Amino acid sequence: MPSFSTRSFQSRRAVFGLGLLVAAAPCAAIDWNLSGHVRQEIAYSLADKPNELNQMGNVFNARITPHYTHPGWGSGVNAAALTSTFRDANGRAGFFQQVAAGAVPGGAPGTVITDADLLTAGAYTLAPANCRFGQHNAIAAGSRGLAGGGFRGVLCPNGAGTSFVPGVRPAAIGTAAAGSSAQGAALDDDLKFNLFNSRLELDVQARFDSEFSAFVRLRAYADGTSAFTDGRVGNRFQNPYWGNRSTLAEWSTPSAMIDLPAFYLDYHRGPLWLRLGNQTIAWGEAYYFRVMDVVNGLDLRRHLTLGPGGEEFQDQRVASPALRINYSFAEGMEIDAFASMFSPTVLPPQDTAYNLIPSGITLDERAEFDDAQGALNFGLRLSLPINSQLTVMAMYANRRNPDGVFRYAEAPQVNGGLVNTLCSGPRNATNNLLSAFPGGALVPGGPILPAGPLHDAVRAAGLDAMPATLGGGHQTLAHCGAALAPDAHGPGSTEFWRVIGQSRLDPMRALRTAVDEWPATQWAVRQIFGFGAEHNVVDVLRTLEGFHSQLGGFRAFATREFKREQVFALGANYIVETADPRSFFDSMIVRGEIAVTPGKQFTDLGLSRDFIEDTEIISALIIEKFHRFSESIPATYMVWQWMHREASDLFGRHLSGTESVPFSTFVDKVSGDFTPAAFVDGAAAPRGSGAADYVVFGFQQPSASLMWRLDMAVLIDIEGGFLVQPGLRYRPSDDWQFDLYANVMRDGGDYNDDIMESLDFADELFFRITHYF
Amino acid sequence: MHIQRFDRDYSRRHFLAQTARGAGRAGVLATLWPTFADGAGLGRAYPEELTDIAAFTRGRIVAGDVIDQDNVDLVQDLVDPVVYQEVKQDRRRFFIQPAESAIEALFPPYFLDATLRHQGQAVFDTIGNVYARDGQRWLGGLPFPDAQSGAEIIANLTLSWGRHDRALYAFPAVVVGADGARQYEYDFVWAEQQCAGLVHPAAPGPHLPGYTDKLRLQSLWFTHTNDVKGSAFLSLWPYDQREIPELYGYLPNLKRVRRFPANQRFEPYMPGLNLYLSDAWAAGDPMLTWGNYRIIHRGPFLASVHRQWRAENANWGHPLVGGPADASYFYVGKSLVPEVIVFECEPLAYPNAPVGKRRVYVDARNMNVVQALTYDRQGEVWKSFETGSGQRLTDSTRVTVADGRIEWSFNWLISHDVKSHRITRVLQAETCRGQWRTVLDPDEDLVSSYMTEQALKRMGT
Repeated sequence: MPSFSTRSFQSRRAVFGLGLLVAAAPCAAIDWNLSGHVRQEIAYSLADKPNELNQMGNVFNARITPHYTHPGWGSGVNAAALTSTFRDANGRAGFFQQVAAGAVPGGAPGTVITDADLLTAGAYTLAPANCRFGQHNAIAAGSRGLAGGGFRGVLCPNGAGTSFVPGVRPAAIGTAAAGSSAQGAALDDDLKFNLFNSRLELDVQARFDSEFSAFVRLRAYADGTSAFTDGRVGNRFQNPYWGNRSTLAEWSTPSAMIDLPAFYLDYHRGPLWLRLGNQTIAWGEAYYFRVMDVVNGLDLRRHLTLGPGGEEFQDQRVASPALRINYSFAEGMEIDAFASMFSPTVLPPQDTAYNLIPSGITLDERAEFDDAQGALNFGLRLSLPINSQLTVMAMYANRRNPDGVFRYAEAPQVNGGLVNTLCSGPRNATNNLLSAFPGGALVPGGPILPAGPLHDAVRAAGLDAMPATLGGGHQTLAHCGAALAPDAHGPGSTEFWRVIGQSRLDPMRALRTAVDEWPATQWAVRQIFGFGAEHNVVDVLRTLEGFHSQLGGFRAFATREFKREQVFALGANYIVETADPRSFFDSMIVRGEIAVTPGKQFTDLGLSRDFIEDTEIISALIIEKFHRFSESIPATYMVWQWMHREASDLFGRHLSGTESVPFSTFVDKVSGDFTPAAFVDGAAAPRGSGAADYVVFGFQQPSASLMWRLDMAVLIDIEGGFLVQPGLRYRPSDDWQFDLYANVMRDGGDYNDDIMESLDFADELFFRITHYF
Repeated sequence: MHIQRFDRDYSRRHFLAQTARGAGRAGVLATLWPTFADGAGLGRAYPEELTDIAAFTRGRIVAGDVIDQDNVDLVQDLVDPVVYQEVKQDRRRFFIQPAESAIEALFPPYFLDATLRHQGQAVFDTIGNVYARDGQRWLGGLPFPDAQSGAEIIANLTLSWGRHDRALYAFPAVVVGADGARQYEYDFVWAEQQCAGLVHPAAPGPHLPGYTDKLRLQSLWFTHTNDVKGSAFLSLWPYDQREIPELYGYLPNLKRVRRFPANQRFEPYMPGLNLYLSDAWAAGDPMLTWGNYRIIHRGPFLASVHRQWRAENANWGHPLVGGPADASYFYVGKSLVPEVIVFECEPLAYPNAPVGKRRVYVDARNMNVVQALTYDRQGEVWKSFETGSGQRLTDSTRVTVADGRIEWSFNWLISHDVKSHRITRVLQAETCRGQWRTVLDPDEDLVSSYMTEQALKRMGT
């Protein structure tokens, strides 16, 4: 008899429930109910290569990458290519350019830099190659730096290195890219288990009376994937939002978390319903495609959005404290309104299986979250049945976009054990170079500078002293004035190109922004070294390789800002009724919705704080059908969806950043020399797309008893690429369930133009075993 | 020696003749309904052999006996093929109750009042929907208590399921597998609100204001197991029985209410359950979406039609019997029903429905379904839908309506999928998980509480 065991169990549940929920009413009057499940979730990677956005999967780890602007590369013509030079608002060139032009007393032109207006691409490329730990090696080799300053150079394991570093083999020039770095290779590893995680969920329901009730869901989740790799695994769960918590009602460690995705009180009386507490709200007609579904951000820390398609965002929506007010009128009209506390989308952590952020970028959102913390989102949705077939709805939401927009953030003073010599301050490499310069040529064949300190000479040249007021209007954390920091694991020039493309950004703008919007960098790169703004590939490589030669790889720092926006949307659903019940179209449900966000802010292609502003129009058409193909099996559920986006892709990246240009376009594969395209301004900018379209087809086919269910979901990016997710669910009893699914992705089309190129590392087979209680 | 006025063959010949005509009024010695309605008891309508199991079996079975595999052959003609097989081959047992002869014991009081009050007022329109003679939607109670055709019987079953204006049923449901082990356990709550044919004295009239084109609203929400908890469905039944009800559902995975096509009515609610939308009260679909209603049999029957409420047991549960673990079926009582009307019907509006036909056994006295057999397209029995009902009455407890009369409701159902030998037991219990309580005609606005899209969202998790 179920009732016998139920009662005794309920008494135990009541005791537990008391510990979880603070109730105002006497406990004896409250009805409690506890249920839950434990689940083991295992995903095994089927990808032929690991996620290269992680450090352990980075294809550049072991590479000794050449500097294309070094005189020893190719025929040497690259180094002599002329590039842009800096001119300030008054037409003054950079300090070293002024020296080269003879404008600085005590200085004199060298043999290389003879033209004050044009800078050769290889003027400061003193290293033929770069590699992981390059600066560490140079320091270890006894490098005292460029002219004894803070630029310590690089030294790679094959002996290639910056010209002033002790131990550099001149013979390495010309074969600088040969060999591999064992130090870098040591960073390589595999993460074959994308998931090996354990989950416990407990639901506690309490009914105080016919009008008041409460619900609490506790979710405990532990990550076990790190046990299967020796590579660097990131902090799985912590972000600096509320302390080190990623969501408000959460306790976490780097490898485990406990949170309360639901913790709310319900009150209803007649047609009025109020829900107060930590909750999620899902609006909209489309599945998976978020058009009206704008209330909550997503928590992507566990399984990205690659769980069974039929579960949509059940495990992803980020709950936030909110008041929901719902009123039902006669004949089915309904108003649903909410006011909720802002809570950001939680990104998949770096150096984990589903990481979407390159390892050379550090995301630090503390200050920007502080700015948005406590902000209120609110919205209203009206649903109006017109007749038994047609229902229309309208929605308005005013929110801080939980997905955020990215931009550079300020780098720390010390990064990974290295002093950030790009920061303004006493350890700034450029400033120290000016302070202690012994006199003579800064670089071989370069202009002759007088002995330092040269600060007065800089001022005399009409240029700024090292900036002391930092941040450029940003909220700063470290008072550095730069968004970059030398880093043993940081990308070199070609890796920068690849990472920028994968991130759907513009490499020229990304470099210009990193220099021009950050005063310490702008001062050093533009005003002192005289590098002009980067408009073509040669300019970019000149700047990158010039500084990589002195400092090794750079890490970039980025953050998200959460901008307020207004979303207006309309939707409808319609049930097709035909005279012939045998018609395939009978009882077909057609849904549609369109959302407009005027003046929406998007991530700038150069990670500038001047974000792209565009009107986002997103629409979706959904057709659903249950159809019984056979008497012997239940109806097949089928769904077709089409999404059209005018401004951004499915991940919210502005479409002007798609279709980036491969690096191979700009360097001849045989000679290694720059191609003519490398000299064309803007040639490296992404070509962009006018719109993005996605199509989904899915079906679910249960067995006659529903014990088995075959799932299939296909997502196609019209630009090329697809995701196929077949799955099988087995439910042999009420307390056990087994799920076996696969995610298979293929990209296609042009370079960096479809979303699958951002996910194709995630091919996997995943298995879940669940015990319900 | 007791002299029987009519021999056994008299009633058998009578039933055969009635069945052969395809129509006719219940009763053997006299027409049942006016006699029964007048409180004259069953003796004037049926011979003793049809009101007393001992008389029918010539003393071989008497009230209090337990029917098991050893003696079920004695009553084979009084049970349907599935129950016979359950007893004969699956060790099911049931006990014999004394027959019930009082009309009050077979109806909810207010529903009986309405049935008596509105006798003779129901007519079919040209489409086949039931209206009062003045053109109003049906006024309440059985429209055709003295049903003479299959169409009238299905109208009796369809127009009011639970025979109360509104009700909330707490259902613990258990699925037993072929090995006799408990395979699934689901708890769900079933709520009904009649929009036409209100019978409670406190009702504002025979029709629920604001729902002029509806027959009923019905919702269903699961409270256990953890994965299906919060799944909720709402059906809006048009009064026009050609129309398929609108169906809305809340699925916890999707976190929102979706409109579902309602023409797929032959799939289990949840994995393992034998229950389909189409199964409810053996009249789960609008009656004009089925057809070819035809009476195929009349005769006595053993059914669970009274004293099925086990208030003395925890959560109103029944002991379990039968099956490999002796725990597959409710151990219930059955009494001799003097006349069941058996009719068959076929689905018309459901292409590729796995159902070939349904055979429904209805107690002629109260027009309540006691058994329904679903046949597959090959004409083989697929599953049963056996119910138990009765007054809220035990030796020590009773539940009454406001005027002191005893309440009545159905109490349990057993659905046996004889193909897979999977048995679903559903108990109308005092409570189910989530602490929902069964309540008949509650003083609560069920519509706004449980039968709106808002309510589905609120009850969802």
